[in-house]
Amino acid sequence: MFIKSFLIGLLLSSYSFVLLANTFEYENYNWEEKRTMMRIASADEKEEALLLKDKRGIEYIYNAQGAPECYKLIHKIIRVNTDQALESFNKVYISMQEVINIVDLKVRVITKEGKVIVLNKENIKEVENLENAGAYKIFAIEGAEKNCEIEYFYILHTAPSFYSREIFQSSIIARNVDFELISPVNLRFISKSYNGLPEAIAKDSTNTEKRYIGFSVKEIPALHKEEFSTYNANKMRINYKLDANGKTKLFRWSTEAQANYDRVYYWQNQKALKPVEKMLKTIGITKTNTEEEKVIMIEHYIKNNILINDNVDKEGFFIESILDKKVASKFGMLRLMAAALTKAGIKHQLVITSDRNEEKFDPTFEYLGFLDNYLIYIESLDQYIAPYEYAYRYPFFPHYWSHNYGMYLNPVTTGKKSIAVDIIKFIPASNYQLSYHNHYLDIRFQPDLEAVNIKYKTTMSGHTAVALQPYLRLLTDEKRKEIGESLVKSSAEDGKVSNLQILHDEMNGQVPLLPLEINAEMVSSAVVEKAGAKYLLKVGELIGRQSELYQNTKRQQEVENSHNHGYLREITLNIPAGYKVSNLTDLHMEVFYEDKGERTMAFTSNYAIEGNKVKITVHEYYKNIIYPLSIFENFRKVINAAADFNKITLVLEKI
Amino acid sequence: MSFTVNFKSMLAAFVLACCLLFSTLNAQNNPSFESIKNEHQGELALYLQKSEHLTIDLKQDSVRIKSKNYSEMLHLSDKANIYAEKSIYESKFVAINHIEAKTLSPTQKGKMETVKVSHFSTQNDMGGSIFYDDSKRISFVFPSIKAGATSILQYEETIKEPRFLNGYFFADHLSVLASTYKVTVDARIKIKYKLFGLETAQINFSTQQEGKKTTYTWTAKNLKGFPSENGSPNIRYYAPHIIIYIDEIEVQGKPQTNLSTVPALYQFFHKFVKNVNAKEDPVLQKVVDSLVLGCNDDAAKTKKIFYWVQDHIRYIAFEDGYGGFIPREASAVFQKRYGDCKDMASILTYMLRCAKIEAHLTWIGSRHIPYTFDENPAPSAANHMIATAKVNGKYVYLDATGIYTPYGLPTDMIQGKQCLMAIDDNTFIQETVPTISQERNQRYDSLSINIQGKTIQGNGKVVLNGYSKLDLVPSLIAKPAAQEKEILVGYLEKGNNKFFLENYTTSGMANRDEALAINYAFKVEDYAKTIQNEIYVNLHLDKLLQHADLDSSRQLPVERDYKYTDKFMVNLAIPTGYKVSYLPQNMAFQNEYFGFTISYRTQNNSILLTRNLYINALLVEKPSFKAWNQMIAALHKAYKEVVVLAK
Repeated sequence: MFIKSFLIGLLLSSYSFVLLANTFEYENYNWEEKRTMMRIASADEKEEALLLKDKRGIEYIYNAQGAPECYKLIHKIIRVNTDQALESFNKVYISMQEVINIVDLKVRVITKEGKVIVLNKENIKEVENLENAGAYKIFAIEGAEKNCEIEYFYILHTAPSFYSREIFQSSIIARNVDFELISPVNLRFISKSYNGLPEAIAKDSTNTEKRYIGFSVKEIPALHKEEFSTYNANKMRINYKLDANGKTKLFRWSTEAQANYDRVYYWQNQKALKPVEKMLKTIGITKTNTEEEKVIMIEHYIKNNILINDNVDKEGFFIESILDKKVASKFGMLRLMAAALTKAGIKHQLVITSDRNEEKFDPTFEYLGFLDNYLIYIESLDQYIAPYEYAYRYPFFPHYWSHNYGMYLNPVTTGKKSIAVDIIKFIPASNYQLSYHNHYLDIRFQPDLEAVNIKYKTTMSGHTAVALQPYLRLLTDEKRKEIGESLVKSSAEDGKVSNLQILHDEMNGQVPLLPLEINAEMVSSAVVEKAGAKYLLKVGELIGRQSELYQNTKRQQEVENSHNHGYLREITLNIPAGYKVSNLTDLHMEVFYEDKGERTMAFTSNYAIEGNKVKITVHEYYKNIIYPLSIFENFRKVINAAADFNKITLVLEKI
Repeated sequence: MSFTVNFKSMLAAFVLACCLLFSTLNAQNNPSFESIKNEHQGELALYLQKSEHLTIDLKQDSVRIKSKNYSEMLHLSDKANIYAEKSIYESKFVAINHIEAKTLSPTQKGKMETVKVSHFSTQNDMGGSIFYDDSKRISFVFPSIKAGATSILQYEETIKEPRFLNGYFFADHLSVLASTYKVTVDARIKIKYKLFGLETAQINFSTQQEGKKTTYTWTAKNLKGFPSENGSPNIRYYAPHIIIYIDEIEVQGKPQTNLSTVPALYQFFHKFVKNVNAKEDPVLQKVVDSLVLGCNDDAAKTKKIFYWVQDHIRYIAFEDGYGGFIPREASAVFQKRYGDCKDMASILTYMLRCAKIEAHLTWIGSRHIPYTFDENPAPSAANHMIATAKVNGKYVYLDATGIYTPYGLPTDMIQGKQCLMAIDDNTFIQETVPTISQERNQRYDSLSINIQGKTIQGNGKVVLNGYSKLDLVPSLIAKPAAQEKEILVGYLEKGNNKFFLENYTTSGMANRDEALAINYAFKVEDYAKTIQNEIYVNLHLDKLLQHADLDSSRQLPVERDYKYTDKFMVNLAIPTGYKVSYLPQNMAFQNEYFGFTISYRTQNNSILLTRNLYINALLVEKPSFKAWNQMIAALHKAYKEVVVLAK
């Protein structure tokens, strides 16, 4: 995430081994000049598109000055069978970040009739800064039609990046997939493949001055998006890194830990922390506060008073100017938070991890690309804070950073210098009991039995509240009301809401953070159906429309939830005088999965009669982040049980 | 409202009013922060003032336009951080000359400190459907924003093309205490103006003359910000705004007049297209010849050509200076097989002419733009181009950007819009594209079902016409079987989400001239209810518009893509041994713009439910809100009625 500055270039070029300048493998790379369309089976014609060739090559060489440079080759042939697919494949974006020049770029279309249309390079557009992602070259494929092949390759001469990844799987089938990484023999690259992609292995070569690693795969199946999965992380991909130059080890977690430590705790003397001291005074922390209170007060003050925005210059990176201007970059927030905790005497460690929705942190592969997101671990509390994530407040942090390994920076002071020792440890997900979404409903029929009055209360805690709790306070009263009402109406969409009350959305450092609470009254007519003299109460709908996995499609990916969570619903039904409910037993449901004698997920529903009241209790929870593919059917049953509850209708008839 | 400004008749009477213009808020006669906050409870920020001052000069007989923009935003709460971020835009026609942004922020000692914005980042603005766009977004963050802080922004623009005076909005979604638009013009220039939007009566107008320059001033006070409401039309439909037109310029002592008329706009537009497709393209001629071979009449030929362009030219848009106005040559579009709207119009008109059919490039504004060319004779009235063919004496509007749109149907986004057809150097024709009737866009879904325990099962057939078909086709056409089924499960779902599509066939999907018909077999589990001797079943397996009631505080109109009728029929076989014990009553609600009828009857051992619903308006406006909600309430009442069958 943050720009890493090292002297790696020097370290590499100082090596005495200098190869002939400017000779790289792909210099004369070309496509097959004259060819017709590739044959595909008739079944393939039903696919929207197919990737018929996907070749990627990366070569590192030394330039005339002995500095390493990189050449990247990408060559693709895409068979496009539908208009929709055409619209997604007929535009190409090439990032120019770190690119020195484009060595070659060829684009053509081969049509069914065998016509070849080559791109007019004048139509390549340059974009200086595409949506803040830097310079791009973009072009539209010329002459492309349904059932044609789009083919292009390009070779980029770039500044070297010494660790990166290539993703090979997408929602279309890929064939003839090749990956190759070439380097001078002294630059030892290693790689690791994920999700079933073959490992890159050393290739034989007559050229003893270069090292070749790579793989070839005939076909990679399409991977489709599925609910309850980390789709991007599940795609087949390879991560690679420069591991050593000769005998010098490179790009190690230990050096990166120290570098990060030095960048975050950048202040050289206590004077630089004067403004932080002033801030702590403003916050009002006293000696009587517990450590937990201090952490919470600091976090809330900083997040509620400093705007986090990466569109800032250097002032957003330094503590003094941040406190002055009340705007900070993410990294600036991290520095400020670390400084405040340090100044308040709270022992903590930096933790750096990946987003497991994109890729899981693999503790067995020393890859710096996993070091993407920063947390602060509070030692005495065994909890974390996310310093630049506005929405997350102690003890919560982005769920996709948990249930993942991370690099902890354990500071050790030796003499005057602080050394950060890297420890790779698991960051556990928070307990399901901390993230609950509850409903408490009291249902009373109107005298004519055509509608019900509902006393409504919902509470949301932990991760279930994150999408709302921190943001409600930023809205106008009008929008707050609109959002509050829409939540209430998820129980009865025709509901007329009154007396709406939203509680605990001021995240001002109360300890502990109370669940977001919404209270309201509502009249709904749609939940009552009329069947002659009888009335049907669609009680199941009152818990809101539930996720379902009813359709029996073949599951590709294991279940991976964002966070552990649960739901509790208590519905009190006041039976109108002179009536009875004739099918109460329909309310009994119990669907669960047991692992080693413990229920790890469950949906249960039951009822009790107290006078003229029926008290319905519905409980649902998911204690684990991952449910393997082998028990997917059990997961499906629990999810569907909740959706089945939606269909429960109680019949009220005269006694 | 429109009239020409004659500055000679408007003299110093307005001097007083003008003096108020640039007076900034000062402590004595301005309300305090607390009182503003009290008056604007629940709002997060507002403009104390905003203004634009346009200067239109003549230098060496050419028009020079500069604009000074100024705004002061008061942040009413500590929560107003979202208004700390700001972006302004420049393009090849509008250059931003210099920007100054700062915050006046209250300090703990009760004073105000000034904190300047020091970092501005520029990026290409390529959002939306445009592949390449030359416009750039300059974005920045106001520092030290908190309750009581004021963020002040001023910048200058050079407007390089006098026809691109985009207008001034007195207010949009935030309240504005004082809004001012000033235009200073050289004596050799005459301007016109028009006011658009709601509540324009509260805008005051004055003029002032200084030497050879006249300054026109429009001011408005205490404008309430408009809410952002779902489904509302473009802000230009309601926010009060003004558009200025240069009507007359004196060049070398001679006045050029009537510059702000539709003919003058046509002259401006036409110069971009007059040289397009001047050269013959024999290859394209051959393509056309083989296409229309065997077509007996012009309608058949036009349709064939239109469908060819839809099938072979993909939509990719480039916005690049005047390039955004000049259609590419038909032969280039043919070769590249892609283009934006005007490129598609170019190849269409050329190919039609190859087939000896009268065809014209046609400018039009989509329904995002409320104005006709007569109301707003400026480029801002148009954002789109189509081809118009004259077939059997009638105009046919051909918009190939709608890839599945059948011949004879415009795209829904240009219904009811005035267009401007290019005939020759001096001739143009203004026409209005028709609004397609509700009947043409019918959806007709009929089910035949029976009850098996808690499950209902049966067959259905849905037939979709017009825009109802076009809503579904893009997501469905040519999809692999598994995906197609998944989309159809979502589309056809009945009763509850335990809906299973057992098998189905479709017809007419790829044929633009046919309706899309889907025959399907399905079941819905846990739907019917049996208690003792009785079965309860709600035949409203499709509750169209059940969540469509409008909030009682709603202010803005509701926009619909198209008018439609929706027919829904269910034929329920009465299970053997049962008879009907309760049949709900028939219901209806009807007016000019929307309505429905619901009826039940029994016949041959079955119950037949018929629901006919129609929407006959593209905009449902405030006066109709009450009736709309009455209709929805009536629908709710009908939807909750359950049929009871008893042994």
